[in-house]
Amino acid sequence: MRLLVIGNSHAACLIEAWRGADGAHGATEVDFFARAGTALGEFAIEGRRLYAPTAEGRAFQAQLGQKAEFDLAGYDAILVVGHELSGFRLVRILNRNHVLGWPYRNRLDIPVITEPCLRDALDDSLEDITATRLLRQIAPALSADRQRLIALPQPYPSQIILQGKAKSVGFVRLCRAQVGAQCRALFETVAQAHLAGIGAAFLPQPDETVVEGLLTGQDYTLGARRLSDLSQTQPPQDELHANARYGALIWAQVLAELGAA
Amino acid sequence: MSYDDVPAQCFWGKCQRDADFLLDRLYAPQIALTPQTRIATAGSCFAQKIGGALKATNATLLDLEPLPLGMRPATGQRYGYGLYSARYGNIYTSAQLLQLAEDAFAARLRDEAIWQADGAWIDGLRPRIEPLGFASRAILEEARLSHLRKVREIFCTADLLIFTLGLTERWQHRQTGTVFPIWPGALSPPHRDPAHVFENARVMTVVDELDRFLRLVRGPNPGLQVLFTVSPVPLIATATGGHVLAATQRSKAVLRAAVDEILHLHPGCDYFPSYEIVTANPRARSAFLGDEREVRPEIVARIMDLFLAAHPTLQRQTPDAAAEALDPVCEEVLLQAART
Repeated sequence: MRLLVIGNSHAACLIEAWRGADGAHGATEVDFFARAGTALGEFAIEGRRLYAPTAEGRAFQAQLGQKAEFDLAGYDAILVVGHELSGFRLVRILNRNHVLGWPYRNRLDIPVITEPCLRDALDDSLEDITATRLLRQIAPALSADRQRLIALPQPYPSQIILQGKAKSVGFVRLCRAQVGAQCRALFETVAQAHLAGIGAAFLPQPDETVVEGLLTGQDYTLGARRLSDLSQTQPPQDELHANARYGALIWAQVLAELGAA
Repeated sequence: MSYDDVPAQCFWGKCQRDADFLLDRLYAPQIALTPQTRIATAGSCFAQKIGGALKATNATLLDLEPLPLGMRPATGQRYGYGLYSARYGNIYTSAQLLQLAEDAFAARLRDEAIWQADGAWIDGLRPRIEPLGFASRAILEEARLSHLRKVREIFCTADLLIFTLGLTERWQHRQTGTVFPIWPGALSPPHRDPAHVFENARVMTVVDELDRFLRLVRGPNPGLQVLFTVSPVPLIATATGGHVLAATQRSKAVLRAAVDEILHLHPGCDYFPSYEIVTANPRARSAFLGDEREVRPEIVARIMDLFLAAHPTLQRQTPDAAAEALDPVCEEVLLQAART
């Protein structure tokens, strides 16, 4: 089985985990096409041909030890990782709107919305993210009966955000209000339905990695590698990236989905 | 001032000789607007056109219940976003405007305007604000109270309210006087109640309601100015039993006369003649689209040209807002649907 992983910095944990598995997954071969950031311009698709259109992109692929051009017909599944497919999409709505009927207080008297309205807002917001735009471009080039499209979300922020000053204050607020699990369930339900509409399967973050309903356990974030230099780890205060242990769980999830586990 | 002293636009013949009927002299504003003026909008569906056009300018439009991040405007419209300065939906009558202000300042819920249909709870005062209705009465009440707080904030902080009067015909609850935006029997699913009675307001009623509204909101916000317009859109149906054409003309005449009376009673109020530009302009005999109810986009653009020319510090920033505008949300069309 041949797989192509397209991603941003959140692909690093998959690269590390795959390399760490050291052939344990048998005949499965994986290519990676990754670039930090979220710019759609880092990828170009012409028919079945997917390639890095910039010299920087090609150099980065070479640094990863990967090709800079791929024939999409040669893969059994294409995986898109991160690229704004993230719980942050939900939380940024909830930073400005209070959900009626959820068991938390509207301390700042921000405008209220119903849960159906929240679902529709999130669904709309997934329309323009890099991940779904990529998937919509790739889908027509695939043979639907033999090639799968899979979308993997960016992990929820690390639980270290509960310890001090964090960028992801919205997550902290929602976790402390004990609605993290509701947020997660809503995000994953909406994302699953949205991606199904594009023809992609959404694989949610594994249960065992989630704490406080909406965060990633520290065991799965400490020591995360940097995509720009896989020999380096992310700084200790990094709250966004997952490590190879997390990546290994994702690989198990992906291979199970593809019937290759 | 005699006829010797009045300017050219006072004479039909001189206007007639001008290619544009001297429309550039039609509106002489009594209130000054700047890009810093905090503007709130409300009214019948035609007000959505004015608000939409103002969004394309450098005007400061209040929006206390903004579109959730990421939601598309077309989706938001189904939830009442982006139409006005808060999600109150269309306010067709002076009675509705007064009632909204009274409820906002008293944080008042009205039992007779809350009902259940097909398992969902309906806010009869904003019947199209949630496409599927509310999941519970408690959620509906929390939503309405939150909304009323935002409305109160608008009335307390706006510098200018642009209000478009649409109808004199209204349906109200016999015992309480609660006014509905539309006959509840036309909703889907219909809500029929013998306590809902028809009323067609007279000039004195409209004047009284607008007068009470102004006194109420100018208590906490004495500087609030109000710019009135009258919707040129004909009634889609009349409950008087008479011809809809006569009912339309009667309704608009009452509203227009009432506004004139209010301008005499309350300084800081003004009237913008968009109604006249659409319905009485000899140069635009066909100001409506095929259904004769929807004002042509170019006429709306012309209205806004005249408005902006009178307030020169307000300037368009995106040129084609009218072309990109969504169709207005109009509960009134349900009256037609109820009979077809």
